Amino acid sequence: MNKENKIIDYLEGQMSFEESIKFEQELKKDPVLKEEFATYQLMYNEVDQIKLEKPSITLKSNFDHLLETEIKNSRKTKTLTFRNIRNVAAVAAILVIGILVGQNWTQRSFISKIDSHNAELVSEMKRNMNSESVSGRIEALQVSHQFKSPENEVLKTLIKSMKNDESPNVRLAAVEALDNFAKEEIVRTAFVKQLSQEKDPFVLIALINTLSEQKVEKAIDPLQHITNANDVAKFIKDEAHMGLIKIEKI
Amino acid sequence: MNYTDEELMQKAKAGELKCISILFDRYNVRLYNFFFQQTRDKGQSEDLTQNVFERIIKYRENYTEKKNFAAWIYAIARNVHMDIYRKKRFDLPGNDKVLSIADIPDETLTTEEIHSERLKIAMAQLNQDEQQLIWMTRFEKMKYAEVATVFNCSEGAIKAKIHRTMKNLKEVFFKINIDE
Amino acid sequence: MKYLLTTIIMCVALIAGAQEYKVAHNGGKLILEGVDDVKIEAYDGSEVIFSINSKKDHKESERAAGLKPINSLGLEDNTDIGLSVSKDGENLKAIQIGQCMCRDNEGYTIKIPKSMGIDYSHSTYDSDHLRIKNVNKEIVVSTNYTNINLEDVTGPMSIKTVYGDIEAKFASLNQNSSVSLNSVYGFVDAAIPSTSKARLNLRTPYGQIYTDFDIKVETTDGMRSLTDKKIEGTVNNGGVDLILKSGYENIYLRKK
Repeated sequence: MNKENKIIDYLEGQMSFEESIKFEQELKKDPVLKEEFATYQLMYNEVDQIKLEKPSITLKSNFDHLLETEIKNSRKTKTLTFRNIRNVAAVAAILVIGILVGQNWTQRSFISKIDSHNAELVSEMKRNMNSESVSGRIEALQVSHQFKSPENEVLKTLIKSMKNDESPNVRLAAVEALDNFAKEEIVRTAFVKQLSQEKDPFVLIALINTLSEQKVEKAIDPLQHITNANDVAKFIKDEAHMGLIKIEKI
Repeated sequence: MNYTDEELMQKAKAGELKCISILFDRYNVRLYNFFFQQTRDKGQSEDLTQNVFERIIKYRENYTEKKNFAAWIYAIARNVHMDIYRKKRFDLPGNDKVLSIADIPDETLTTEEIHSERLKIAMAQLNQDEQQLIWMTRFEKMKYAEVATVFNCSEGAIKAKIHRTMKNLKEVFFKINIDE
Repeated sequence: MKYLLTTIIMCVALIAGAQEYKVAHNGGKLILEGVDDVKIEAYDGSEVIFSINSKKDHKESERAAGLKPINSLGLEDNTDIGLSVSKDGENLKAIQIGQCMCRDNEGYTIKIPKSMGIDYSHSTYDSDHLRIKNVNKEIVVSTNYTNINLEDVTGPMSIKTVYGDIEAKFASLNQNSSVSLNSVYGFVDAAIPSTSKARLNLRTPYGQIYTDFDIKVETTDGMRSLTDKKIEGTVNNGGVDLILKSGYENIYLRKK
């Protein structure tokens, strides 16, 4: 991180005790840093002296009037009749059935049309996964974007690469490719497992984001573990915490 | 009888609407200045403040006890501000209202006043999110985690945003020349 | 003019006491682990040249006189400029030992033969920037805090950083293998020649995507699958995979 970020973190009180001691020592040694620090300090002093303007008296009287009206109105309560609820439910049921039928139909016709083409793509993908170069393997993973419905072989290849590839850049690409199929149970299970094994921060954040967007409840335990772990960077804990909020809808 | 903001809002939710009056007393000047800082328009800032309390009354059922009240009210304030912005389809007044130090009669100002004018001009160059961030973290002293719930993103993202904001502010702040 | 300037700077640097470490190497990759603030440039030569502009005063380390710094893997500085450099199969590996010996954020300048690729990783606060220029072989970068600036590159490459910004100016777009630029909290800015052929995958959940390219958006079942946060499509009828992703900031794809 650059110097300015460090200065800002210090002035914002975002450093741990050890970090700020270390920073203060650096300040003493480094005249350039010290000068930069002084300009920020001057600016922060100004910012912290923001002067308040007074609103006019009408703001208060308008609010009082608003509240009075609401208090009067709230005494008349409204009720939702049983008949209303029944109508809404019926419409919703019809809609849901419609969507389900439609989905099924489009998927079936899609699969039968390009099956042989798929087989070719899968073998190409597997072949390229053995590439020596990182960008070559990432390119191989991109092939999966051409599958609109999940192919077992494709998912297996992606999961294998997310678990085992030595390059975090490739693992990240695998997580993102799998994200397209995040509705599949096999993918979700693999994500949750990887959550407790992954060491690279970026890949971890990607995993946390997908799992929380999909509201995968099985991820709650490992996420909680991350937020409490000692050896995990603060920004990952933040993301994990945010993930928990999204899943649990706090 | 010194209830916290959160307790007052709980009571209001349960039916004691009068409690919102105490919350109004605690927050109206702060919200007014939050808006004034961005719009530089007194009338509009009062309207916006009024609008926030209207929504608090209307949507009081949506408040849950886990929510930090300051974060909740500022999330509403942000929405109110955004709605006006969307309706008008152009930038709110403010950014062009305070443009140069030359507009201010300088002879009567003390050094201190000149400095705070400089800050005003610098702040006006920032975008709305940046102005709001500074307000919440510096003036309201809200924690990053609370601000994160207002902006609906992670605490890490707020930290990165603060880095950018303060660098931008510094950039414009020291560009403004003051003849002393 | 540029060359003249570089020459002058280099002369000044030499006078100021720049230190160098050279090693003959060809092909493979230069692997850098935890090396602060690096500037890498490919050149027509057959040596890898590491240099730092001016060494820190060693006042504070009088107590360490006659002793050598050593890192947690037991590696020691075998270059006299704070790096442990060794052959690793067909690759060359450099690991920074202890704190950077450079002054301020100047860091290391490294020249590599054109036949070499780069594999850079850095995980702490201490490296502000990584600059790579003129490299045509594969570049792989993985950092947490470092900003990344690429110039006159072609791909293939895979760049990822958690907090850093990524800026890349392409001389051309190599069609052999993919290019991916990823940041969580930083922006991603890529400039490619206007005639480049690419299949695009752009994504930023919380930012905006800006471009002056005419992107042909991929269609599924006759529907345009376009939201402003996620774009899959092609430029100039498609080509190599170009993947630009940011979690919270903007993505810029511009014509060079």
